[in-house]
Amino acid sequence: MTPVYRLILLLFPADFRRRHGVAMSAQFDEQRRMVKSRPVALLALWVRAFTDAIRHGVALRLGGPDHSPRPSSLPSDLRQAWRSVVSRKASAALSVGLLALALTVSTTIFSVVDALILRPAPFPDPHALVEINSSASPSQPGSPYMPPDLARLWERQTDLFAAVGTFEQGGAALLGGGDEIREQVAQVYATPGFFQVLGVRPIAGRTFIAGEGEPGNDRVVVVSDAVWRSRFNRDPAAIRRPVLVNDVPLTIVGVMPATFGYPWNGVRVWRPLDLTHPAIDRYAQVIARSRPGLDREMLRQRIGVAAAGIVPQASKPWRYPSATIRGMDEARLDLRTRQSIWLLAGATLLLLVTAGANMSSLTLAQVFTRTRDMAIQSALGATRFRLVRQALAEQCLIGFLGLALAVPLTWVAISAAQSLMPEQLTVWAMHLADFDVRALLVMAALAFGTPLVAGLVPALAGSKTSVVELLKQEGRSSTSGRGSRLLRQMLVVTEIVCAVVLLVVGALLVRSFMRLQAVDRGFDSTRLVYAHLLFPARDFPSPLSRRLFVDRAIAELAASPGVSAVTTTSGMPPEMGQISFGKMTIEGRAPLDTPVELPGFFVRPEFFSVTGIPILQGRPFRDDEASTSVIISASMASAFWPGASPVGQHFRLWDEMPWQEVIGVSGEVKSDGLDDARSSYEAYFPFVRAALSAVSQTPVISKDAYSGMATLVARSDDPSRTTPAIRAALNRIDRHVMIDKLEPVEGLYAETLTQQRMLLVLMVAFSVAGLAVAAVGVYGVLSGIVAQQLREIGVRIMLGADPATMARIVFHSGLTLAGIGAAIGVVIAALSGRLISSVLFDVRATDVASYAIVVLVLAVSVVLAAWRPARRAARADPASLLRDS
Amino acid sequence: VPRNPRDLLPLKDLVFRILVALSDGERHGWSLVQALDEPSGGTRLLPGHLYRTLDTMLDDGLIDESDRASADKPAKGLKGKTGAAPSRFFRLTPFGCAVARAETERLEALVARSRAGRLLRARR
Repeated sequence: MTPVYRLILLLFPADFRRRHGVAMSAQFDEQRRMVKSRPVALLALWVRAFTDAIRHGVALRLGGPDHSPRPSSLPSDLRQAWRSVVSRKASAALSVGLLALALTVSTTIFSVVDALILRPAPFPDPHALVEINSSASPSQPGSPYMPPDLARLWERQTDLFAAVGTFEQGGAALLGGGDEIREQVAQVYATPGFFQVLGVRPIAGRTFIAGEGEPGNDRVVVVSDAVWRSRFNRDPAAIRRPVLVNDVPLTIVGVMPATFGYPWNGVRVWRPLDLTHPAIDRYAQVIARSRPGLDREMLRQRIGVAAAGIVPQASKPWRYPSATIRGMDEARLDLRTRQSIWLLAGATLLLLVTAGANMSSLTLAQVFTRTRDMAIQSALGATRFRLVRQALAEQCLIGFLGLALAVPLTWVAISAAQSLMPEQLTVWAMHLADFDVRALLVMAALAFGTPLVAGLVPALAGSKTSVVELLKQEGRSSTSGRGSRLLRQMLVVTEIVCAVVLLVVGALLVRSFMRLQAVDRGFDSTRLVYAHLLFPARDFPSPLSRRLFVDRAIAELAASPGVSAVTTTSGMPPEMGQISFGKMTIEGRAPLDTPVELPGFFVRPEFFSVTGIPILQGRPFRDDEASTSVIISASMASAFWPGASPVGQHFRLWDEMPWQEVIGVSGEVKSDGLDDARSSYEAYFPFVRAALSAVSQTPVISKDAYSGMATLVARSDDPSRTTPAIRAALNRIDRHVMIDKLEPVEGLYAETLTQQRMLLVLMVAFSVAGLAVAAVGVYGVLSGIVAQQLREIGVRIMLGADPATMARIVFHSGLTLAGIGAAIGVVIAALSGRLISSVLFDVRATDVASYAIVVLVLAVSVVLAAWRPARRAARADPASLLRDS
Repeated sequence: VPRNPRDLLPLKDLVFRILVALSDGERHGWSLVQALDEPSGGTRLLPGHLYRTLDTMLDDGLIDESDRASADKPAKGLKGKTGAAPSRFFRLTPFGCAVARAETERLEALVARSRAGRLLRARR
């Protein structure tokens, strides 16, 4: 007997199992043996065996043996369900509304989780896809960038890979021109292998062929579906037609499908990559499809060996001697982002449970009247199975109505989520969150599952009652439905538990966010305006033209009202600067083993006085500064020269780099955003043209479209008022300059918190929704209790009890429920602290203040929810109550 | 308790077919499945349905059962067992016989009526 079938047999009642279990499994064994060579038939047999067990097992449990044939009564069940739903309009509407809300939220979050985490990359056999990274040793995580000639060597590795491709991020391109609309789009340079690796076919035309990209043969382009649609109206004849890219006519050879967005979403143009091009500061990324039969682990072991053979062949020595691989299906999102998303999914589940418990509670509220119905029907001969089926048909109807309401809501919510999601989440996403079949299936499952589960308990409880019991209870309202009341109270406690957990997470996030905003930036960021400019190659062809613009801009801005000082720099925290990486070597010491990442800023002497970043030791730059001088941050000083002054010391990051002399130590700034936990180092280099080529690895952007870029920082007492003036001034000097970004530096810091803000807003919304649902639950239970006991309360008031005491009793029961729920909820929240703490900043998951706030908020909400029932109890008029009875 | 066989009519299809299959003599479960489910070789009729029906029929007194070592081993032998597998045999009770007969008569009358009508004549 297979263990699985033994589990299935558990669906049958125990005595039935005892009598027939052995024979049944023997029969199933035989049946399995007969179809075992046909997988589809075997699967079908299992499915049928399972449904067979559900159908007959459940029927046996509920109705006993099947004595007489009974016509199917589904239509009559549904008719009756409809009548019942209509008869209790208010509570049914509340159930449907709650369900629709829960469905909308959970489906939206599901589609986000599904798109960002669950779904594999949208390429054939995605598990074979890897990125090759350069690294110091096979055991160390590497960097995806490598020189083009090394990439070319990797492209020949056919014993490990079925296909290898290279791409290079091409930055911005200007698409169109002449009579057409000219727009800035993202472009990528790619080898023919790039498309082979990914295995995605163009929807029209072809991808690149060998040799394309070489000089004289590089005027071809593959465009995205978006370009094809917007510029050519999906005309098949667009293939072989020219399109202007950076004012150069390129022939369109192919169109990629709308779902294709690699290496990131929003790439509109793929151009052929020439790996033989001798440019020095170009860095390529290599992707590959492993040979069939070569799994990830084997590949990991062999990649180091392969690198040892390949890297020395590169024409220029490369500072990373080894290589590692990273699966394309491995997380592209960082740990904190993934944990935020899971946290949201957990919160959604809690909200769903809360809504379900409330629906269950609403159903139970009807159970007394329902019990009478059911008992009478059962006395008239209906089986329990029949009664339960009827009750469940009603829940199905509610599920259907909730689903009908939730579908349009979800459609809106998912579209909103798409546009509201922070760009850092969507840009690397291989799928966009959309309302697809998967989301719809999940939604439908929840739509029918939630009310069925919520309705099962009340249905079973209700169908059990016999007429005799019922008659015994009749007239004794104080004890009637004690079981159902206890059940309702348990459900409300469940709701409160969920709400408390949600509230705790919300409160912790609020406090964490407040701490984040209050973080010391290291300088006064509120009085600085940041402008990032791009120079179109057509209008600023020479370095001189660009320098003239920058000099004029500095002079004019400094003279404009409200601006006290202006400087130009290569970057401004929290923009990370240009990262140099290599192995740190300090003069007179042995080289360090671990690679160092060093964000560098190229600044003019006045940079420190304009930004207010303090110089703690040494001196700022002079006008005639040597190109090898460097100012390092205090964190770097204490990391490499602990307890000593680094001023006058020398270091370098790789062998060919000239020794850099430390001339000063600057104060710490948050250069990696406000939650910069690693307290990254910063280095400031003098803004000398010679230094730019010697030290920096100029980022590969603006290769054709722009001849260069510049960053200006202006000091102003009122940045929000000065910003428009600065824009006007820049446009006045030369309207062709492209202002990529112009905003207060504080705005840059706010941008680094986009993701946290999003999580915060959603979690607070969830906790408020959870609290509201729980409060409705408390209100429902208390009004139920008061309504049932109104006569008793009236009598007690008539006998001299104080109405205020009656009200107090109601408040007391409400607060007792809240207390139990809060206690359990607090324990659960504290236990799940580890998940929460990963998204918190400078706040512990057991932060007492947050818990205290939650308990207070809960207490106030419960008192508000209990208000009306309490007032009703206090105002119970004994005379009229007795008259009514 | 003496009962009128007609009280149980009409029979469910499966019940009637079981009665007919047992009319040749007693059978154990798997041979019953094969007899009932000839065209598919026995994969259509699933254990839950069969044994729930048999349970009801036992309850109604249509059949009874006996445990004994099977002389003719189950068609293909129960896997993993050696020798004669102890197998439960089902057989008709006199009441079951009467019910099967009553159902047959009912169906015969029905068929006769449909033959008398236009239904079949039209096809000839």
